[in-house]
Amino acid sequence: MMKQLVPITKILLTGGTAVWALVLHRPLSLVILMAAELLILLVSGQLLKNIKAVLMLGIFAFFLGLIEYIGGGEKEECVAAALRMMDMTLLFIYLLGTTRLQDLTASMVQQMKIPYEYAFMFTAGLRFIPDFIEENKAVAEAQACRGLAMEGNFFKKVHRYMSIVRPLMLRSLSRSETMALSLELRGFGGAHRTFMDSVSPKGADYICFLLLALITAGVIYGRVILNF
Amino acid sequence: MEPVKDVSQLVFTKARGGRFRWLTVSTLMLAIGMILHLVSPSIAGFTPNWMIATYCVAILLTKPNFRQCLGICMVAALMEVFTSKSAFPYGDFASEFAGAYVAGFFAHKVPPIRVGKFSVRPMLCGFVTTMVSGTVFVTILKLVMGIPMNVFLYGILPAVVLVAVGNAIITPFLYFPALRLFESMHYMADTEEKDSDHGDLTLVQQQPGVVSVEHLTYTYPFSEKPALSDVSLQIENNDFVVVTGPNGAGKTTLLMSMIGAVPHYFGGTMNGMVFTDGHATTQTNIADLASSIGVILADYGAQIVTMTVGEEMAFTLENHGFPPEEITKRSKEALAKVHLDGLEERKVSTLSGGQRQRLAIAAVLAEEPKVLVFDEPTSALDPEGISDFYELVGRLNREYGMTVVVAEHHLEAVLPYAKRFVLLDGGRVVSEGTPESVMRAMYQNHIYEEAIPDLFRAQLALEADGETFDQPFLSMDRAIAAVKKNLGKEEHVC
Amino acid sequence: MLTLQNVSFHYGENGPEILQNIQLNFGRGEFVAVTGRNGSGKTTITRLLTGLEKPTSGRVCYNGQDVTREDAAARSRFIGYVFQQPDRQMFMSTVREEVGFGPYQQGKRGAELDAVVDEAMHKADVFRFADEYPRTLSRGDQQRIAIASALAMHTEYIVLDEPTSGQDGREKKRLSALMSQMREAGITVILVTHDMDIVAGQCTRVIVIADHHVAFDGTPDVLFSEGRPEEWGLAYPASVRMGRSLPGAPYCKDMATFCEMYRKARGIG
Repeated sequence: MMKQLVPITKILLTGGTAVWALVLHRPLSLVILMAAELLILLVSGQLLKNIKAVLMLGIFAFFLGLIEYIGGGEKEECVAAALRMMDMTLLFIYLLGTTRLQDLTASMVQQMKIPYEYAFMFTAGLRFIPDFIEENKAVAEAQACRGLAMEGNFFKKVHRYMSIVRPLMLRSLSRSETMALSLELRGFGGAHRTFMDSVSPKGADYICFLLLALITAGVIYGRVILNF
Repeated sequence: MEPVKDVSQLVFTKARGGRFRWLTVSTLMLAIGMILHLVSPSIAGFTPNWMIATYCVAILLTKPNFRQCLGICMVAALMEVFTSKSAFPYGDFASEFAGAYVAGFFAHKVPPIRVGKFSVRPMLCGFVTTMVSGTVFVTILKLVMGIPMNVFLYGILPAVVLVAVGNAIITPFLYFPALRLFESMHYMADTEEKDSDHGDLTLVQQQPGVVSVEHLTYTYPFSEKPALSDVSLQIENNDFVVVTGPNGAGKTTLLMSMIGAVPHYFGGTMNGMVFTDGHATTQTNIADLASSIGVILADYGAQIVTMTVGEEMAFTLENHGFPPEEITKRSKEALAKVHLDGLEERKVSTLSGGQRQRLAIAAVLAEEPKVLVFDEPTSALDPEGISDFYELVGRLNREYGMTVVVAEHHLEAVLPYAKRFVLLDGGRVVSEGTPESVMRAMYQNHIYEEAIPDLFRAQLALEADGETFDQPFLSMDRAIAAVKKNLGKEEHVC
Repeated sequence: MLTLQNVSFHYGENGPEILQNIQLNFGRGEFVAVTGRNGSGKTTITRLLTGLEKPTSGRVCYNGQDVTREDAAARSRFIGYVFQQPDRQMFMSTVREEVGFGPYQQGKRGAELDAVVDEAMHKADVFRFADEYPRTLSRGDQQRIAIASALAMHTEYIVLDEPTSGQDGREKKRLSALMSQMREAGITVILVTHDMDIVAGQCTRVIVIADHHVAFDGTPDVLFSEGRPEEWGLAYPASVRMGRSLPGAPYCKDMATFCEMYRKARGIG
């Protein structure tokens, strides 16, 4: 079920947890929030798949908390800070793992009113990444065959690196011309654009919206009145 | 209104177009920035911020307005978040928000301050943008995490300075070669060309045909010599025309004039007229012409802009506002024609070169054009790929009645399917007609004769010795039959 | 002498076998074509020779020395590689710098470097482009610049990966002539190709890879008159097929030979 929510709901949920994490300040409350988030990850099947990312986030948060402690912070505050970090970013794993890219962009345009050009740049950029990785490898091979060694000190590495970067960039600038012409031919930038997939909220989404509003109100109340 | 009588007297001038250049350059630069960040060499875990460097270069080169700068940098932040290169997404959004304005400021308000031969603007831009972006990021981090001030000032900020220095070095390194390339292609120059408008002329096609080129002379901007001189050509319905000639003869320019890219995209000065599907190309914008005439450019990989086959098929139709059911129907039909059926969910990165080419063709077919134009489609294919490609195109011509125009060097591959050849040299039509007659003209006039397939050339060489054959050597079977017939005669006599 | 001894290769831990027990020797001054279907492993063989891939078992030896462990940069002292796409191997701002890249890595500087670069550019007929930006040149010129870049390193062996694909008739002839010149200068040219006309017309030796093995290793005339090229996914060159239509079915290695044979059969010329 958590997977089938439309993107806007997931975005609001992710943003919501950030707001709650900022409002709450007791370590215990933040731990409960983290547990809830981990539960969401588990239920949507993203926890085990991305366990490495979760651990990396945990290490990063821990490290930041440690810095604060060494810098003279109070123990409770440091723990809270580290937990807050985790709470603010954990659900991105859920968001990115369960949302299809085309749905995300449709949602960005239709609901968040972001102009289509920018949503397009995002997906188009991602589309070319595998191609460039291939080309990067090809240029590196060609250079190796001309005697350019892999080892060497840092400056040699940087120098070698620079000479791979340049042809990659120049080739892509030439390709950008073809792409620019192609976009004009394909009617890009018109006023009336349809989208194949529908990303409007449905029943379950509206329930979520309600829950989010209630929880947010509850969290704020809890913080102000009950000092969560 | 009187229709224009003598088309050859018409003149149309335009500045070079390319309203999406800022977008495509930025998109590709950000993609590169992403990869560079992944493989960058580092000292003690510090690397320059390649994303910031690449968007600085893109903004300095194409000078988009501030809204567009903001868009570019938000996309950069999105890419960082999406590829999990970011431990703190909110920080990224805020920092690139700030970075956008700084980079835009440098592009528009800061002149190229010179030290010796070089402008230091890229270096300053790289340094300042990274400083601002980095400072915003760590400041937000500090506020959220409550990092103590002394750690912030003496530990974290110096780290930001270090990265900013790294960027100050790499940004000019990326910028100057790119600038050189841009200047060599005249994107940076301003012209005094005023854009013509043919909107209120009545233009009538003089010659029949689905595409009619009438007395076309065309010169690219910043060029002295015309690329095409007084070219007239008619393409009939269901024709299969091969345009050939040495490099620089004007093949690509001719094809671009049929689709309207000349003059609308490339600018320049155009005399004469081109009519495509009854529309005068100077009066119609290229997106509208594209519904009658579809083009596959030489670099077909750059025409594919989405992640999956299905999305690519839907892209053009979505842009024009077609309803989803119509899109699905047309996608299926087009994919079936190129034998890529059922592959809607496949990622483009998993397709081979030949499949990508067919996808580009299918995406064009979804608009249901009458004419298909190919610009040197076989440069990257091996012999098997070449024969598969022309077999597909031949089928589209014969079974589906499409009109085909191809610019091609590889005449052997196209002989089984071509109905007409057109030979261009130095911007003029030198010869036009059946493949055989044009190849003979190439041989006799010594124009581009290296392109004549070896088999046919052998016939021409033997004919020079006085031999005659009852069939032209246009295919292996015909050649063998003709040779055997001649030798059969010989055996009879002996 | 460059050898592959009992070389087998597959990708990754459990990838399918690409090559099994390959045994090949390459001597001096040969013009060898390595051919086969797409995916047969012909490009893999050249990648194993240059060090871009390492064999899963077996050895690569150069003049008796085992060089299996050496990577491409180390092996570049005796073997050069020209890739199929010219723009994947151009990375400098001028042709002169591009051609000079290899010799520079070899340690040449100053006047010595210039001499080597000039010589290579003349051989490949790209000297007039010395100060131009390679990307603005035609595909044919770019390919010859890539070849010049390999020639400048004075290696005994040069591998060319489908250099004529995507080139027009004029360029193909120029590239063929250049490759013959290279061979006459004593360089061993190893050509990965699908172009059977060049194989028949100019190569001294053909290696066909099929079913993960060396299916044929001999001269082109034997391949096309007695071998089974269709089984291995190869087409007969036009001149060979035409030759068969003549009385006595002489082997014609190129169209000029066919015309000669035809004239003889007709008693003319």
